[in-house]
Amino acid sequence: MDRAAAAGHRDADGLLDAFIAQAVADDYADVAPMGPGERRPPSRRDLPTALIAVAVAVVIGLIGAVAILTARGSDDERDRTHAELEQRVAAQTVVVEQRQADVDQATARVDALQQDLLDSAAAEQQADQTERLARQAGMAAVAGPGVVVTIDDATGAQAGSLNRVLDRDLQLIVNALWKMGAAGIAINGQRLTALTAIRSAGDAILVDYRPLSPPYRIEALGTSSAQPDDSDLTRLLDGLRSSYGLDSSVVAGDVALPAGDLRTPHVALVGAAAGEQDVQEGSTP
Amino acid sequence: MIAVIGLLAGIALGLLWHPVVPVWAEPYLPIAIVAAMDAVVGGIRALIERRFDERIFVISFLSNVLIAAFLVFLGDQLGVGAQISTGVVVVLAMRIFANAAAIRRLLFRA
Repeated sequence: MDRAAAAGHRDADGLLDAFIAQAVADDYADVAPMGPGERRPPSRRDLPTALIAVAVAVVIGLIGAVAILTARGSDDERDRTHAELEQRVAAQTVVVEQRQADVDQATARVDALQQDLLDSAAAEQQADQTERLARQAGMAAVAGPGVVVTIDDATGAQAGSLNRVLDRDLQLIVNALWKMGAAGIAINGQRLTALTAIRSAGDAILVDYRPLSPPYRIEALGTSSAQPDDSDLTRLLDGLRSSYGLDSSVVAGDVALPAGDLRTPHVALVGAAAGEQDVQEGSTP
Repeated sequence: MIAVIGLLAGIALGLLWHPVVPVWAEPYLPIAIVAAMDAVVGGIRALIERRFDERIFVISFLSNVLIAAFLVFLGDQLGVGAQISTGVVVVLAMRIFANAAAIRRLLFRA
């Protein structure tokens, strides 16, 4: 091996060699070895240095012992941790199972409630229909915008004269209101139902068999407040005024109709109630 | 010899006392062990070569431990604690091997 090759080899290893040489430099390189039996000069062996050396040695031993104990204890620690984790997993599994059971229960309850809702939807629809029909039949109190027709006998009209409001007049007015789309009509607080008669008994007009006294106040729910001049009601009232001098007025406003007294059928059975409702519905145009 | 007695005393103390290493000190434990081993092996080599010196023993151990601990602390702060720890352990382990090889040569002439 020539010098150049050796130098190149040394250069190639130089960095690593230098690194290792520095890294592993002997701490005691500057201390000359002593001969056999030779002792250090006293200045090098003063008491504090020896004490510190002992202390360092104690620390080193302590560190070693602690390291061993820690390494050995870590097995116990691992086992403990493992056992604890197992325990925790088991506990959490139980919790998860409970939650799953809760979820299943809640899901079943939701299903049941949905089914109930579906079932009750039909019932609700029926109830809605019943309520609607009851309003139309006059069996339920209703309130809302409408018109109030007030009509009175002609001033100074005598009993038996034609200048008084007759049952027939009220019937025509009521029919005109029905035709205008009234959803409910009451005369002097007597709700008209499909079975309500407007008739006279002597000088009195009976509505639902109750005698009324003038002026007659006919409340109609749901009729348009804007009355066309050529409507049946207008023509009728104009005719009554011009022919018989009956004072009348039509006022739009909110009306509140009481529930009518639809008597319990004596002949019809409960099973025929549907047909009866149809009749009542048919009475409202 | 007095250092060996101290070493044994420290081991006995550690075994009897059974101290618990605080969590914050755990990253420094391996470094401390390797640095301690380095100091011990270096001291043994010097002892065999009759060059042992308490002053150098103390200073080399303390400085090595402090530098190693500081490097690990710095590495932890910079997020490269594991790499720095590896570097420190590698360097100290090289010193241990070198000193152990010297001891082997001195004792067995091999």
